[in-house]
Amino acid sequence: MDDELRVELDRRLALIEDPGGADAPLPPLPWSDVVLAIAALALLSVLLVWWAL
Amino acid sequence: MSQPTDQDATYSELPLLRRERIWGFWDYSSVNVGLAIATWAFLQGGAVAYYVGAKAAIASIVIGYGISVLLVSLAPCLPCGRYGIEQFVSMRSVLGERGARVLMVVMSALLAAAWSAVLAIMCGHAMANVSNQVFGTTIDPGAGVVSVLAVAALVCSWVIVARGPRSLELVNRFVAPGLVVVTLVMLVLIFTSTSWSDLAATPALDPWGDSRLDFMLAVELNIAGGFAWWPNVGNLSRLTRTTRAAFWPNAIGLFGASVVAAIVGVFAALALGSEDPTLWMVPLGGAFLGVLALAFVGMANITSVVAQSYSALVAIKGGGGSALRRVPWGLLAAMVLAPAAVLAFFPATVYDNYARFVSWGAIVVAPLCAVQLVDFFVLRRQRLDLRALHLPFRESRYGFWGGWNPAAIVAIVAGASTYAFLLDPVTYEPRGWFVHLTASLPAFAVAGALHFGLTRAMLRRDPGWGGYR
Repeated sequence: MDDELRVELDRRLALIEDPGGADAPLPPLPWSDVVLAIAALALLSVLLVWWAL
Repeated sequence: MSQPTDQDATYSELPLLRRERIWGFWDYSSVNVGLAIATWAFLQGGAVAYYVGAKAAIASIVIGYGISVLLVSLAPCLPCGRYGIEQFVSMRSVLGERGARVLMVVMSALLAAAWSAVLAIMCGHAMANVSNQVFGTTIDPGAGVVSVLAVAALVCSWVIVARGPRSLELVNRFVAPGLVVVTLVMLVLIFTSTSWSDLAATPALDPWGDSRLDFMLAVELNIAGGFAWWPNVGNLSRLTRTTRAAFWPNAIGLFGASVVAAIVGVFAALALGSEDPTLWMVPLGGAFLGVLALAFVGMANITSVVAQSYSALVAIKGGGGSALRRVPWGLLAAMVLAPAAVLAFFPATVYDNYARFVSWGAIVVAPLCAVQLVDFFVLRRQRLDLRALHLPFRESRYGFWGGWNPAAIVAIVAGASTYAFLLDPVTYEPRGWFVHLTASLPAFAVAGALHFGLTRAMLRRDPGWGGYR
């Protein structure tokens, strides 16, 4: 990695690693969203298998 | 519209800051729909119609795409979306620096080139059919003119992708809604010429004859079709502003739009007795509407090539080393698209092996997705050390053994072997418990379980292994 890119990477990492800073990582996706997606898919799959086969 | 510069992190592996994330929920949904609704979704529907009739096809498409799109929405979309990191940089925590680099080359150079070739050839077919209708030419699907048109499509893609992700967003704002209209018009036209009861009674084009096996083959084809998004979506989702915007638009685009287009593809294939989407438009819509639809769908393929190429370019910029990093964006885009241009001169070979081609991707991607998912969500509990991801492997907590993670590699090889055992990738002949399990799902389960078990075993020997603690 060249020096210019290294400096830019370090600047970005400092901003992202700053706790409470405006550039901190996004919060994780709520587990309720994942559960909702899985439940919806499971329900849809059961209904479709029942209808189609 | 801004020209890309090397300082712009959206063109490199640099982690994005929140203020640089350009896509909200609807922006990403629009890009996602544009990516999903290209004629590969129609071709997918045509391939499914080989095995099952309309009702079973609908079930197999929803179930197959639903499973694999949900999995790729979890990994790689969430690690990349949460941290704004390039997809193959994120894979350094899973495979090690060298492992991720090899993966990047395989995925970007081979799969991206092959998909771009398929799309470009389909665009060539569409344009050839337009010419046949409008100018009365008699261009054969395997003719050299189709290859030339496919190369022209790749050149158009290069012009757009060389201008960067903002051009991608702008193009998709117009193309994605247009494609939705084309798909819905096709659906209406199908049902003006045939009834649902006739369609539901139409047999599959070329089934094996065992209805359960045919259904599972159709499900497998659709699971594999959904997994084919894995190389692209991480680098797109890192441009989103929230984790919800990185996750849910996949349900609208990669799932919803693909499912609708594939179902329309099944209906058209069954109604017209052909699996080639470029042969459906004129019989369905007549000369004027058919030619219009063909031209539009041909153009839509170009937008998918653009999205595909952008992801591959970011990956290569990130993982290709300092020499590739210095290559200008436009030149690198030409290098990424060049192999597709070569493949475009073998249109029949590429076009007629769609199911096998999708299957070859799933052999690698199903276990890879499992390993990444288990690694990020279970073993690392959604926490990554961004600094360590960007350090050379000798200094990084993600160094593993000389930049390779043997646990992940063994798991992926075991998963791929499971897939090949259950579904022969050359003959596309199912074996063993395929009829109960498909091939992708056991490959996914074997790889995920093995990666978890092997990593826990390594951690018992060396608690500092791989930066898991």
